[in-house]
Amino acid sequence: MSALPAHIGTAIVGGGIVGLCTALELASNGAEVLVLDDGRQSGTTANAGSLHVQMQSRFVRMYPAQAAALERALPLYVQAARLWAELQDRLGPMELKATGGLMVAEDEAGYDFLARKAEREAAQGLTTHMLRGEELRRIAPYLGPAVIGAELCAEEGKLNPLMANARIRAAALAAGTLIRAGAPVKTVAHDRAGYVLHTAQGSVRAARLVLAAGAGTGALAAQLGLHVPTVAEPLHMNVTEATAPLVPHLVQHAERMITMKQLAAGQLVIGGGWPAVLDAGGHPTVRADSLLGNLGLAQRLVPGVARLRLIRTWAGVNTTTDGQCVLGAVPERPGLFLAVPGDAGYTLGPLVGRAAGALVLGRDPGVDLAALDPRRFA
Amino acid sequence: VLWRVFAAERPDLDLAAEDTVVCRCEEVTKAEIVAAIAAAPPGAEGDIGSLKRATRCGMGRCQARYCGPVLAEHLARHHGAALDDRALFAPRAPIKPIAIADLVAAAPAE
Repeated sequence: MSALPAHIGTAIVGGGIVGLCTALELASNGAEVLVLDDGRQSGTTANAGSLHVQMQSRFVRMYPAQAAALERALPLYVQAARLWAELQDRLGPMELKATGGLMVAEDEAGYDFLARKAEREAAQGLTTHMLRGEELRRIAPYLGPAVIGAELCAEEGKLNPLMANARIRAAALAAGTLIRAGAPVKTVAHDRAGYVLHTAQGSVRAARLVLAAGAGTGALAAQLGLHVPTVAEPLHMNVTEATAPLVPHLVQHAERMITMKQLAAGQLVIGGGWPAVLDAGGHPTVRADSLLGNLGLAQRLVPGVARLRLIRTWAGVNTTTDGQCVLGAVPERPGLFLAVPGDAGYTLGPLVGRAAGALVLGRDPGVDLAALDPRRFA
Repeated sequence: VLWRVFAAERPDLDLAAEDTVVCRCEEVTKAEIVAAIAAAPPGAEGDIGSLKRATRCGMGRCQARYCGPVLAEHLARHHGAALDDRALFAPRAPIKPIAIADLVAAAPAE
């Protein structure tokens, strides 16, 4: 392991999808970049690979106070899905497919909720359709009899985060980014010359600092006098053995927590927000009740999965704030930038990362930052 | 005794040819393993978790019952990995593949 440089132009804390995309944007434009990550590699790659565009009902239900902010942020998701497609064209296959996302309903009340949601989403520029009966079964013959109808969002789909992270990391490295894993940032301080970061691998001075540390961002921002309430939400995920093509869409539910999709390798990933727990070391780990509840619902919606064997479960951490990104500069702290997608962080990662990189370079971030100001929580 | 009788063969990866399939479930060859290790960032060559994420080795039906110990030995011998409780992939439920219908049927009612 080579030592940390003593000085760097821009340090990015967090080597997940946001930090890697920020680094790629900066390094591709000739900037000197160091990514620091606390894990054994940069990024946990725990994401399940949903390309989210329509409002996830679990957020509307669990955090009703965030619903208005989520709705305002919808155009960002459309933009993010387009950016993912551009990234795949540029960097190589990531199994990204906009196959469409179906949010299903099991009763009339759920269907009405979806119909109203679809109208509001269409007003924000999403391509949504309500489907039921024969029309729904024609595109989704795998759905069970419990499903009476669904909202289809054409921009949604899936991707393989293992491939995406590897390609983005490789491109960032090739452009000259330095990445140090196993380097948790313990303290950060600001003085006239910039920022001093003390990590488990030594200290580094940076002229500019991007905090892209997901749920860990709040604690670092607090050291710089900024209140940003990032909350860790540990989530449970399941994966089945491989099978023949069964579920082309991203499948969700109007009222209950689930996401389902099939990987190119044939395995089905079943997740969607069932809780996991943080162990004594702060690492997320799985829960038996989440496993059973999640799979019971999956089997009811898609009876074809009943015969498939579950081969593994895992857990990852989603970051929530107030339903919107925390993205922008902090004028009181020259050279400090925050880059946290408030929800569906993996889908928004490239958009938020590219915008953060552009801000550091003094360019147009391509995103309206008015509602995303990191100082709004003060 | 049963563990010994049914122990999987643990062939030496050094003796394998380039096109030898190391992970049968995901069809990963020795050449792909070696290339992924060579492409690992400095200091992470011996990390079995990163190797899995790069190649899909150990991610199939058997969940690394065959390739896991072979890879752990290889990484220990050539890349300084410790043969400790983190030498293999992190164990996760369900430990052994179980059909979803059987899991759900055995669950307590909601």
